[in-house]
Amino acid sequence: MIRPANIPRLLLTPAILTTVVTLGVCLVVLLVLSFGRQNYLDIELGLSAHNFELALTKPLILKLMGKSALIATGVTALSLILAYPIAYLIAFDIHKNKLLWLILFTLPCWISYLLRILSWKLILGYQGVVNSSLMGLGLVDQPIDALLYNSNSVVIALTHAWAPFAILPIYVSLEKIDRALMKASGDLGDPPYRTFLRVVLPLSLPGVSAAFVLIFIPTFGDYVTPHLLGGPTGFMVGNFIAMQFGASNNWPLGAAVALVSMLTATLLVCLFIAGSKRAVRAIG
Amino acid sequence: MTDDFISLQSVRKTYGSVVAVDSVDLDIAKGSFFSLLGPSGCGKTTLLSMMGGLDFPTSGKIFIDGADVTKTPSYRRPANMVFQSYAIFPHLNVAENVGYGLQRSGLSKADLNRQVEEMLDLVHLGGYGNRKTDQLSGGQMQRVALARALVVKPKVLLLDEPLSALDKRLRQNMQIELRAIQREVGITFVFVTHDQEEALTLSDKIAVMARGQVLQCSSPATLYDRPLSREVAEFVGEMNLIPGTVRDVTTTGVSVDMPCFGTRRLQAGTRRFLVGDSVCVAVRPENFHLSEAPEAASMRVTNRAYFGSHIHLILTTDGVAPICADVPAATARRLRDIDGEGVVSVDFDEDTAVLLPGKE
Repeated sequence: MIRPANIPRLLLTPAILTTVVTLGVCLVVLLVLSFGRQNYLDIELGLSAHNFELALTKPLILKLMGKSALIATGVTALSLILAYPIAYLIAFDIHKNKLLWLILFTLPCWISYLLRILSWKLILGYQGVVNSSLMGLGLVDQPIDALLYNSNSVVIALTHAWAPFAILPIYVSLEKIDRALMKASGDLGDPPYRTFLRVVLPLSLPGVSAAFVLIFIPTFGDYVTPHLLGGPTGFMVGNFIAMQFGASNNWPLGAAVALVSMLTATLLVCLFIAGSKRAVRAIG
Repeated sequence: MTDDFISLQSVRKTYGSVVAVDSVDLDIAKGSFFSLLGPSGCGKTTLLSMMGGLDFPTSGKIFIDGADVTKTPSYRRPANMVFQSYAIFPHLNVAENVGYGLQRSGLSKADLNRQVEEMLDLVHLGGYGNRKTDQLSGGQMQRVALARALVVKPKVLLLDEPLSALDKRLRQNMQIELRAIQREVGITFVFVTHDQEEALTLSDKIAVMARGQVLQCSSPATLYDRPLSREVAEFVGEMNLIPGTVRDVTTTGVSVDMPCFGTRRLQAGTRRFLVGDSVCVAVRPENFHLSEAPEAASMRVTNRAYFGSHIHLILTTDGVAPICADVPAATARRLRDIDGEGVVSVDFDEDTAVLLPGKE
């Protein structure tokens, strides 16, 4: 018999089941694989730490991990810098049709991601929109080739894709701030910029942290964007993992690197959240 | 004029076509406890915000301690506010909240902590410095807000209905404490409230407001005993308004024909009345007494409530609106006939009655 008290738990069941099956089971598979060894076409399961040793010592993997962290940090930082003022504007300066504005700013997400990446190729390419405009204006003599097929284009495309997702959590945390607190800060002698640093910024930190997690984690492991826009130098750890499960055919190594990069990303997120709290307290 | 510490000159504030504050002139003495009293929407909070620099007048001027601060933003004004919602910073603890305004004063950390401690002691929150603000009760939040505003030593403290969120017992305690703190620090307090009892208890002077205007500005006793208009008379305390007609005007007073009470001689105050004017005689319920005198009015008791020290009577008679009378329980007990719905003879003290125009 279904008792009313059990209904919430009952309603949670599909979500929990999905999570356990899709995430939990896959993680276990990854874990089991990672301790195994690839023997030509077969995978020998075992308890060898060899793959983790490789993942943590092989210069190529470390370099790719560092590069992924750098690109993800850059993309997240740019997204936050771009999204914060927009969220602030909608929360504090727009009084009518806030929802409409929020939707307008997320409009780019309505277009297929692949289509957007291909558009970036047209924009940033050797004879793309940017270069032909610069040439046409006579600002440069020959097309700039630093725009496409390197880390820059990856950062640009990822920022464009992810910045809209930062707006919402930041907006929500700003919207929740009691306006009387800002008045009180002003009343106690803080000019507007100090009020921002001492009241608005600390109180919007949960939203900023949420946005950070939301963007940092997926961009850290992204491989589609670097695959299509990264060229030889825009290669990220995600591409390396994909290769192990594809052309290189070394699933155990791929699994180990995937686990290590997951842990690395988690660690970096924790560091950011702790660091940002400290930084904000230091300002106050 | 030397005593006027805060001075508002024809201050007016409009929001679009809505007039929130309409040509208000006010002078507030240094070190006094001044209240702005009025129903919600009368413009009292807007007026307070303009004194604090959180809002700016459409026209008119505001002076604090001789300086024109009309256009000075709040962060450069010597006035601090205690907000109705307290506006306690949720991300800071009690001591950090109180010390908020001192951060930029260039005090050493030790001095700052000492001042914060002293202020917490003043509002009876000593030792609460490290508490998180979400562990505080309403009354404690109130004290933190007060301490936070007082610690920066403002010339004026503005309080926006600070006690309205507290329950009755706590509110009465806080009233007494607020008054004691005001005496101790000697800062001018401007207090906004819609609770007339609170205003009468606390203030040195009260400005009664309605529709964006100041109706009367005087001491609590004057306000209660000598209201200048029917509106003030009815807003502050309970008041019976008995209609009448002026029969005769002399230098010593005005004779008024009243239903039930006959012809009475009353003080005209500063107003001028003409023979034949329709007037209102305003009498407080406690100024009625049971009387055997021939001019006393006989009235039916339609309702009675026992209050221990006095009995509250609703009296009616033909041609007059019901009258509320508070008669001392001791005298009422002697009269058997008001045990039920009987008829009583009541009279009022002519000295305490206020003569007001019949229509405004």
